Amino acid sequence: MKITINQNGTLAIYEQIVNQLRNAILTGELSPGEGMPSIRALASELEISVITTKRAYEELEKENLIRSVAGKGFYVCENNRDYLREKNYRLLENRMEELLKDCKGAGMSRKDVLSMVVELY
Amino acid sequence: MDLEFSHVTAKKKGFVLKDITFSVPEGFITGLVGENGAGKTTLFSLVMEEYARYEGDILAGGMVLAENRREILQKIGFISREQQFFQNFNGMQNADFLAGFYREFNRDCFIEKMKEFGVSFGTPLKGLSVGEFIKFQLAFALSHGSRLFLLDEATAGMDPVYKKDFFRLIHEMIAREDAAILMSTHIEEEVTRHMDYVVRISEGAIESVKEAGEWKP
Repeated sequence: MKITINQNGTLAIYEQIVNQLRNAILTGELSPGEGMPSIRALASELEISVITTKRAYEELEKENLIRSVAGKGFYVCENNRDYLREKNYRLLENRMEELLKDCKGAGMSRKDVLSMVVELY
Repeated sequence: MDLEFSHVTAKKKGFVLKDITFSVPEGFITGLVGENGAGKTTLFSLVMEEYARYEGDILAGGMVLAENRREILQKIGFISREQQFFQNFNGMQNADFLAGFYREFNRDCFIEKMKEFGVSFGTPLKGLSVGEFIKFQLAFALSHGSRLFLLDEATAGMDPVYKKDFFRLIHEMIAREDAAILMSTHIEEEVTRHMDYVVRISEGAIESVKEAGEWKP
Protein backbone atom coordinates (compact mmCIF):
# COMPACT_ATOMS: atom_id res chain seq x y z
CA MET A 1 0.00 0.00 0.00
CA LYS A 2 1.05 3.57 -0.47
CA ILE A 3 1.12 6.11 2.34
CA THR A 4 1.34 9.75 1.44
CA ILE A 5 2.51 12.42 3.81
CA ASN A 6 1.17 15.91 3.39
CA GLN A 7 3.72 18.21 4.93
CA ASN A 8 1.38 21.20 4.88
CA GLY A 9 -1.68 19.41 6.21
CA THR A 10 -3.29 20.27 9.52
CA LEU A 11 -2.87 16.70 10.81
CA ALA A 12 0.36 15.71 12.50
CA ILE A 13 2.46 13.28 10.48
CA TYR A 14 1.81 10.40 12.88
CA GLU A 15 -1.95 11.00 12.62
CA GLN A 16 -1.75 10.89 8.85
CA ILE A 17 -0.05 7.51 9.05
CA VAL A 18 -2.52 6.20 11.63
CA ASN A 19 -5.50 7.25 9.50
CA GLN A 20 -4.17 5.73 6.31
CA LEU A 21 -3.12 2.46 7.93
CA ARG A 22 -6.41 2.23 9.83
CA ASN A 23 -8.35 2.63 6.60
CA ALA A 24 -6.16 0.05 4.87
CA ILE A 25 -6.89 -2.42 7.66
CA LEU A 26 -10.62 -1.70 7.79
CA THR A 27 -11.06 -1.98 4.04
CA GLY A 28 -9.04 -5.19 3.98
CA GLU A 29 -6.21 -3.79 1.89
CA LEU A 30 -4.03 -5.04 4.71
CA SER A 31 -5.40 -8.43 5.65
CA PRO A 32 -5.64 -9.96 9.13
CA GLY A 33 -2.43 -11.73 10.12
CA GLU A 34 -0.40 -9.85 7.54
CA GLY A 35 3.00 -8.59 8.66
CA MET A 36 3.51 -4.84 8.84
CA PRO A 37 6.71 -3.23 7.58
CA SER A 38 9.20 -2.69 10.39
CA ILE A 39 9.21 0.74 12.02
CA ARG A 40 12.65 1.49 10.62
CA ALA A 41 11.81 0.32 7.12
CA LEU A 42 8.65 2.43 7.04
CA ALA A 43 10.40 5.49 8.48
CA SER A 44 13.13 5.19 5.88
CA GLU A 45 10.64 4.67 3.06
CA LEU A 46 8.51 7.66 4.05
CA GLU A 47 11.61 9.70 4.92
CA ILE A 48 10.26 10.60 8.32
CA SER A 49 11.57 10.25 11.84
CA VAL A 50 11.72 6.82 13.48
CA ILE A 51 10.04 8.15 16.60
CA THR A 52 7.07 9.49 14.64
CA THR A 53 6.61 6.11 12.98
CA LYS A 54 6.89 4.33 16.30
CA ARG A 55 4.24 6.62 17.73
CA ALA A 56 1.87 5.79 14.87
CA TYR A 57 2.33 2.04 15.45
CA GLU A 58 1.75 2.47 19.17
CA GLU A 59 -1.50 4.27 18.43
CA LEU A 60 -2.67 1.47 16.09
CA GLU A 61 -1.70 -1.06 18.73
CA LYS A 62 -3.78 0.82 21.29
CA GLU A 63 -6.73 0.64 18.91
CA ASN A 64 -6.19 -3.14 18.66
CA LEU A 65 -5.66 -2.91 14.92
CA ILE A 66 -2.13 -4.28 15.01
CA ARG A 67 -0.21 -6.25 17.60
CA SER A 68 3.48 -6.66 18.21
CA VAL A 69 5.12 -10.04 18.42
CA ALA A 70 8.32 -9.88 20.43
CA GLY A 71 11.36 -10.25 18.20
CA LYS A 72 9.29 -10.47 15.03
CA GLY A 73 7.51 -7.18 14.48
CA PHE A 74 3.95 -6.02 14.00
CA TYR A 75 1.01 -7.91 12.54
CA VAL A 76 -2.51 -6.92 11.57
CA CYS A 77 -4.91 -8.20 14.23
CA GLU A 78 -7.40 -10.91 13.36
CA ASN A 79 -10.25 -8.88 14.75
CA ASN A 80 -13.84 -8.92 13.72
CA ARG A 81 -13.63 -6.53 10.85
CA ASP A 82 -17.36 -5.76 10.81
CA TYR A 83 -17.14 -4.63 14.39
CA LEU A 84 -14.17 -2.39 13.63
CA ARG A 85 -15.82 -0.95 10.57
CA GLU A 86 -18.92 -0.22 12.59
CA LYS A 87 -16.75 1.53 15.16
CA ASN A 88 -15.05 3.56 12.48
CA TYR A 89 -18.42 4.59 11.01
CA ARG A 90 -19.55 5.77 14.41
CA LEU A 91 -16.38 7.81 14.72
CA LEU A 92 -17.05 9.40 11.35
CA GLU A 93 -20.68 9.99 12.29
CA ASN A 94 -19.55 11.97 15.32
CA ARG A 95 -17.23 14.06 13.21
CA MET A 96 -20.00 14.62 10.69
CA GLU A 97 -22.31 15.84 13.45
CA GLU A 98 -19.72 18.35 14.59
CA LEU A 99 -19.17 19.49 11.06
CA LEU A 100 -22.89 19.92 10.45
CA LYS A 101 -23.14 22.01 13.58
CA ASP A 102 -20.42 24.27 12.18
CA CYS A 103 -22.22 24.42 8.82
CA LYS A 104 -25.46 25.46 10.51
CA GLY A 105 -23.53 28.01 12.53
CA ALA A 106 -22.18 29.44 9.32
CA GLY A 107 -25.75 29.88 8.08
CA MET A 108 -25.81 27.04 5.57
CA SER A 109 -29.13 25.40 4.72
CA ARG A 110 -29.68 21.68 4.30
CA LYS A 111 -29.65 22.22 0.56
CA ASP A 112 -26.38 24.17 0.72
CA VAL A 113 -24.72 21.40 2.68
CA LEU A 114 -25.98 18.69 0.36
CA SER A 115 -24.83 20.49 -2.73
CA MET A 116 -21.43 21.01 -1.13
CA VAL A 117 -21.23 17.29 -0.38
CA VAL A 118 -22.20 16.38 -3.94
CA GLU A 119 -19.63 18.81 -5.26
CA LEU A 120 -16.80 17.50 -3.11
CA TYR A 121 -17.47 13.77 -3.01
CA MET B 1 28.88 5.13 16.60
CA ASP B 2 27.20 7.28 19.21
CA LEU B 3 28.48 10.60 20.52
CA GLU B 4 28.20 11.95 24.01
CA PHE B 5 28.91 15.37 25.44
CA SER B 6 29.31 15.37 29.19
CA HIS B 7 29.54 18.72 31.00
CA VAL B 8 31.54 20.27 28.18
CA THR B 9 32.61 23.86 28.70
CA ALA B 10 34.74 25.75 26.21
CA LYS B 11 35.76 29.18 25.04
CA LYS B 12 36.70 29.80 21.47
CA LYS B 13 37.05 33.01 19.46
CA GLY B 14 34.46 34.82 21.49
CA PHE B 15 32.03 31.88 21.52
CA VAL B 16 31.35 30.22 24.82
CA LEU B 17 29.85 26.80 25.51
CA LYS B 18 28.60 26.18 29.00
CA ASP B 19 28.13 22.78 30.60
CA ILE B 20 26.89 21.00 27.47
CA THR B 21 25.49 17.54 28.17
CA PHE B 22 23.57 15.46 25.64
CA SER B 23 23.99 12.35 23.56
CA VAL B 24 23.55 11.45 19.91
CA PRO B 25 22.29 7.85 19.78
CA GLU B 26 22.81 5.35 16.97
CA GLY B 27 19.91 4.73 14.64
CA PHE B 28 18.41 8.17 15.05
CA ILE B 29 18.75 11.68 13.68
CA THR B 30 19.46 14.32 16.29
CA GLY B 31 18.90 17.93 15.31
CA LEU B 32 20.86 20.86 16.68
CA VAL B 33 19.01 24.17 16.57
CA GLY B 34 19.57 27.66 17.89
CA GLU B 35 20.11 31.24 16.78
CA ASN B 36 23.15 32.25 14.78
CA GLY B 37 26.02 32.56 17.21
CA ALA B 38 24.44 30.22 19.75
CA GLY B 39 27.46 27.93 19.48
CA LYS B 40 26.42 25.17 17.05
CA THR B 41 29.47 25.40 14.83
CA THR B 42 31.75 25.73 17.86
CA LEU B 43 30.28 22.49 19.18
CA PHE B 44 31.21 20.67 15.96
CA SER B 45 34.68 22.18 16.04
CA LEU B 46 35.32 20.72 19.48
CA VAL B 47 34.93 17.28 17.96
CA MET B 48 36.77 17.95 14.72
CA GLU B 49 39.70 20.15 15.68
CA GLU B 50 42.82 18.46 16.86
CA TYR B 51 43.79 21.05 19.43
CA ALA B 52 40.34 21.99 20.62
CA ARG B 53 40.41 22.86 24.30
CA TYR B 54 37.52 22.19 26.58
CA GLU B 55 36.61 21.00 30.02
CA GLY B 56 34.40 17.96 30.48
CA ASP B 57 34.29 14.86 28.29
CA ILE B 58 33.40 14.04 24.74
CA LEU B 59 32.95 10.34 24.06
CA ALA B 60 32.43 8.59 20.75
CA GLY B 61 31.52 4.92 20.62
CA GLY B 62 32.22 4.83 24.35
CA MET B 63 35.82 6.01 23.90
CA VAL B 64 37.21 9.28 25.22
CA LEU B 65 37.73 11.46 22.17
CA ALA B 66 40.80 13.28 23.44
CA GLU B 67 42.66 10.01 23.96
CA ASN B 68 41.49 8.16 20.87
CA ARG B 69 41.26 10.90 18.28
CA ARG B 70 42.91 9.12 15.38
CA GLU B 71 40.88 6.00 15.80
CA ILE B 72 37.60 7.86 16.24
CA LEU B 73 38.12 10.25 13.33
CA GLN B 74 38.35 7.26 11.00
CA LYS B 75 34.64 6.79 11.55
CA ILE B 76 33.44 10.37 11.56
CA GLY B 77 32.02 12.01 8.47
CA PHE B 78 31.99 15.78 8.96
CA ILE B 79 29.99 17.64 6.36
CA SER B 80 29.82 21.39 6.10
CA ARG B 81 29.68 24.05 3.44
CA GLU B 82 32.70 25.69 5.08
CA GLN B 83 34.70 22.48 4.95
CA GLN B 84 38.13 22.95 3.41
CA PHE B 85 39.09 20.76 0.48
CA PHE B 86 41.36 21.32 -2.48
CA GLN B 87 38.89 23.58 -4.25
CA ASN B 88 40.78 23.74 -7.55
CA PHE B 89 40.77 19.97 -7.92
CA ASN B 90 37.85 17.73 -8.77
CA GLY B 91 36.08 15.27 -6.47
CA MET B 92 38.01 12.23 -7.59
CA GLN B 93 41.37 13.97 -7.09
CA ASN B 94 40.32 15.17 -3.65
CA ALA B 95 39.21 11.69 -2.66
CA ASP B 96 42.53 10.25 -3.83
CA PHE B 97 44.49 12.85 -1.85
CA LEU B 98 42.51 12.23 1.31
CA ALA B 99 42.22 8.47 0.94
CA GLY B 100 45.62 8.06 2.63
CA PHE B 101 44.18 9.22 5.93
CA TYR B 102 41.41 6.67 6.01
CA ARG B 103 42.14 3.00 6.53
CA GLU B 104 38.82 1.84 5.22
CA PHE B 105 38.57 4.12 2.22
CA ASN B 106 36.99 2.26 -0.65
CA ARG B 107 37.53 3.89 -4.03
CA ASP B 108 34.92 1.81 -5.84
CA CYS B 109 32.36 2.76 -3.22
CA PHE B 110 33.22 6.43 -3.68
CA ILE B 111 32.82 6.20 -7.46
CA GLU B 112 29.55 4.36 -7.07
CA LYS B 113 28.15 6.94 -4.62
CA MET B 114 29.23 9.88 -6.78
CA LYS B 115 27.42 8.27 -9.72
CA GLU B 116 24.38 7.50 -7.61
CA PHE B 117 24.23 11.08 -6.33
CA GLY B 118 24.84 12.45 -9.82
CA VAL B 119 27.87 14.55 -8.87
CA SER B 120 30.28 15.41 -11.67
CA PHE B 121 33.72 13.78 -11.36
CA GLY B 122 35.53 16.18 -13.62
CA THR B 123 34.47 19.57 -12.21
CA PRO B 124 36.78 21.29 -9.74
CA LEU B 125 35.05 21.50 -6.34
CA LYS B 126 34.75 25.27 -6.57
CA GLY B 127 32.57 24.79 -9.66
CA LEU B 128 30.01 22.55 -7.92
CA SER B 129 26.67 23.83 -6.66
CA VAL B 130 26.08 23.87 -2.90
CA GLY B 131 24.03 20.68 -3.14
CA GLU B 132 26.66 18.90 -5.22
CA PHE B 133 29.44 19.93 -2.87
CA ILE B 134 27.53 18.51 0.11
CA LYS B 135 26.83 15.32 -1.83
CA PHE B 136 30.50 14.95 -2.73
CA GLN B 137 31.29 15.14 0.98
CA LEU B 138 28.60 12.59 1.77
CA ALA B 139 29.97 10.24 -0.88
CA PHE B 140 33.43 10.56 0.62
CA ALA B 141 32.17 10.10 4.20
CA LEU B 142 30.20 7.01 3.20
CA SER B 143 33.14 5.47 1.37
CA HIS B 144 35.51 5.59 4.33
CA GLY B 145 33.09 3.71 6.56
CA SER B 146 31.80 6.62 8.67
CA ARG B 147 29.46 5.66 11.48
CA LEU B 148 28.99 9.11 12.97
CA PHE B 149 27.86 11.90 10.70
CA LEU B 150 28.18 15.50 11.79
CA LEU B 151 26.36 17.84 9.46
CA ASP B 152 26.77 21.55 10.00
CA GLU B 153 24.03 23.45 8.15
CA ALA B 154 24.32 20.96 5.31
CA THR B 155 20.87 21.76 3.93
CA ALA B 156 21.16 25.56 3.97
CA GLY B 157 20.86 26.93 0.47
CA MET B 158 20.14 23.53 -1.03
CA ASP B 159 17.48 23.44 -3.72
CA PRO B 160 14.37 21.33 -3.04
CA VAL B 161 15.30 18.53 -5.45
CA TYR B 162 18.71 18.06 -3.86
CA LYS B 163 17.22 18.31 -0.43
CA LYS B 164 14.73 15.54 -1.08
CA ASP B 165 17.54 13.27 -2.24
CA PHE B 166 19.64 14.30 0.70
CA PHE B 167 17.03 13.29 3.26
CA ARG B 168 16.35 10.03 1.49
CA LEU B 169 20.04 9.22 1.98
CA ILE B 170 20.09 10.34 5.58
CA HIS B 171 17.17 8.07 6.42
CA GLU B 172 18.84 5.17 4.66
CA MET B 173 22.02 5.77 6.63
CA ILE B 174 20.36 5.32 10.01
CA ALA B 175 18.04 2.49 8.98
CA ARG B 176 20.86 0.04 9.77
CA GLU B 177 21.02 1.29 13.37
CA ASP B 178 24.82 1.42 13.58
CA ALA B 179 25.19 5.03 12.49
CA ALA B 180 24.37 8.21 14.39
CA ILE B 181 23.64 11.61 12.89
CA LEU B 182 23.89 15.05 14.45
CA MET B 183 22.82 17.84 12.16
CA SER B 184 22.34 21.53 12.71
CA THR B 185 19.63 23.35 10.81
CA HIS B 186 17.53 26.48 10.77
CA ILE B 187 14.64 24.92 8.96
CA GLU B 188 11.68 24.03 11.15
CA GLU B 189 10.07 21.65 8.68
CA GLU B 190 13.23 19.52 8.60
CA VAL B 191 13.09 19.11 12.34
CA THR B 192 9.44 18.14 12.61
CA ARG B 193 9.50 15.73 9.72
CA HIS B 194 12.91 14.17 9.66
CA MET B 195 14.43 14.30 13.10
CA ASP B 196 14.00 12.11 16.14
CA TYR B 197 15.55 14.28 18.81
CA VAL B 198 16.23 17.96 18.92
CA VAL B 199 18.75 19.82 21.03
CA ARG B 200 18.28 23.56 21.29
CA ILE B 201 21.19 25.70 22.35
CA SER B 202 20.99 29.33 23.25
CA GLU B 203 23.88 31.60 24.11
CA GLY B 204 26.19 28.65 24.47
CA ALA B 205 24.02 26.63 26.85
CA ILE B 206 21.52 23.85 26.33
CA GLU B 207 18.00 25.18 26.49
CA SER B 208 16.18 21.89 25.86
CA VAL B 209 16.57 18.32 24.64
CA LYS B 210 13.33 16.85 23.30
CA GLU B 211 11.79 14.30 21.01
CA ALA B 212 11.22 16.17 17.77
CA GLY B 213 7.47 15.43 17.91
CA GLU B 214 7.15 17.49 21.07
CA TRP B 215 9.33 20.28 19.82
CA LYS B 216 7.89 23.68 19.02
CA PRO B 217 10.09 26.31 17.40
